[in-house]
Amino acid sequence: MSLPFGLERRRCVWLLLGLAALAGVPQLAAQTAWPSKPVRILVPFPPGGTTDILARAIAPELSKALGQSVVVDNRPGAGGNLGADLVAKSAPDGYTLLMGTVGTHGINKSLYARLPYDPQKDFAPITLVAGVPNVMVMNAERAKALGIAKPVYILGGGECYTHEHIFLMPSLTTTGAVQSSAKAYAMAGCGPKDIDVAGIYDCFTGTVIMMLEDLGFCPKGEGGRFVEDGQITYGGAIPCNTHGGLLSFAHSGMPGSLFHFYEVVNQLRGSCGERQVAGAELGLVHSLGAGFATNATTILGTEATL
Amino acid sequence: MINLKDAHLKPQPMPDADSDIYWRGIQEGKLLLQHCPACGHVQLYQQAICRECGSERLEHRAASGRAKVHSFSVVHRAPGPAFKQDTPYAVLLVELEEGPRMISSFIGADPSAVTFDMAVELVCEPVGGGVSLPRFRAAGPPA
Repeated sequence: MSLPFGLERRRCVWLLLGLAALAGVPQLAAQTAWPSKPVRILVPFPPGGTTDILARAIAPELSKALGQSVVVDNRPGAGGNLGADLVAKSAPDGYTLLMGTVGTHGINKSLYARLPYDPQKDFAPITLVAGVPNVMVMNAERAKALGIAKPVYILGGGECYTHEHIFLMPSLTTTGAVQSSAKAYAMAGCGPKDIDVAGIYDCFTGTVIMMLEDLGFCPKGEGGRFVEDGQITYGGAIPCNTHGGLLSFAHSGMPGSLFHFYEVVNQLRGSCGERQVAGAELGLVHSLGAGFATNATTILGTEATL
Repeated sequence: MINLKDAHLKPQPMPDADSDIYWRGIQEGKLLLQHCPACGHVQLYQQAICRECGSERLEHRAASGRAKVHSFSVVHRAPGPAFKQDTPYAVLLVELEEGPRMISSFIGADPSAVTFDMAVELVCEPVGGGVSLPRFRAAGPPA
């Protein structure tokens, strides 16, 4: 079964201020002495998750900047609603902040019949803290109903996990990308020669060369020459990482490959402007991590490839 | 996060329930490997189960100490102040006679002498504070 890529959305984490009463705002602005007591950042999720980690990264710095203690307070429950509601109903005095997320301030409004707070009216945004990319996978009809004219389809996927620690890597020069891509090509019914554009996880330049070989774009040992000959840019055998990749665009940490997905999806939609690979119909995204231990290959295609 | 003071200290082994026996072995001059009687797999580092068959019955046996260099890297620019006085030094990925590979370092000779498949032997080197580290030197001629 082919699943289309609908659209990508960025899950954002915001720092928000509860506004139980709007009348509290001018009062707050007039309080020049703020903060005169510890400030609490309420995290509506348990310790250890993304939202908590971000709050704990910010709190000490905020504390230094404000000259007051900043305390992180975890209040998990009901998909973040419990904590968000506590902040919404707290005194609007600037001493109770919320690490809001796309859940508490976006998704939950449509998931919960009776949200006890109003995500828009009960809060004032302070700043955007972090972005976490998400991918939405849905059926083609739904994507079209949402106005996505050119949904991109997942045609094949494969994974391979080879070792725990990098010193246990079975081979230092060949990775599980061989197996993961073989599974993906078989599922999609195509081969490396058919791929028009690729997004290859590129934490280091040497990684790209190993992956080009293991994904079958060139024979083993010839990756360096292949790149030197201009085969991974426009007009070459397989234009790669047209957005710049981790090396030139951004290394976002854990979701590194999400930008590769975003770019390849846009290439297949023909919406890359100056970066567009002419006539791109089939795309490949390869992700890896944990010291070459985890490999995942995904093959994407336009409607014409179905 | 590392602070300036800690950056001048070399990291020390931090034995846990799985690895305590390993570090005590090193202190006694033995490199203990886990042998699985069920499937014959030999593993390093220490874990509760066999990475090959999942058996929980594992036996510790001392390695012969004979190994060969599978890969290596000669470090000229130290990763931090703690290692500055050691440069140049060779980091080794050795393959033990029993099969498992391990990361170690080369001692006893110029690191430029290190090459692939070179025969090396284990040295459990005391580094102070009652701690020894497993290192490798060029193997002597066969007795």
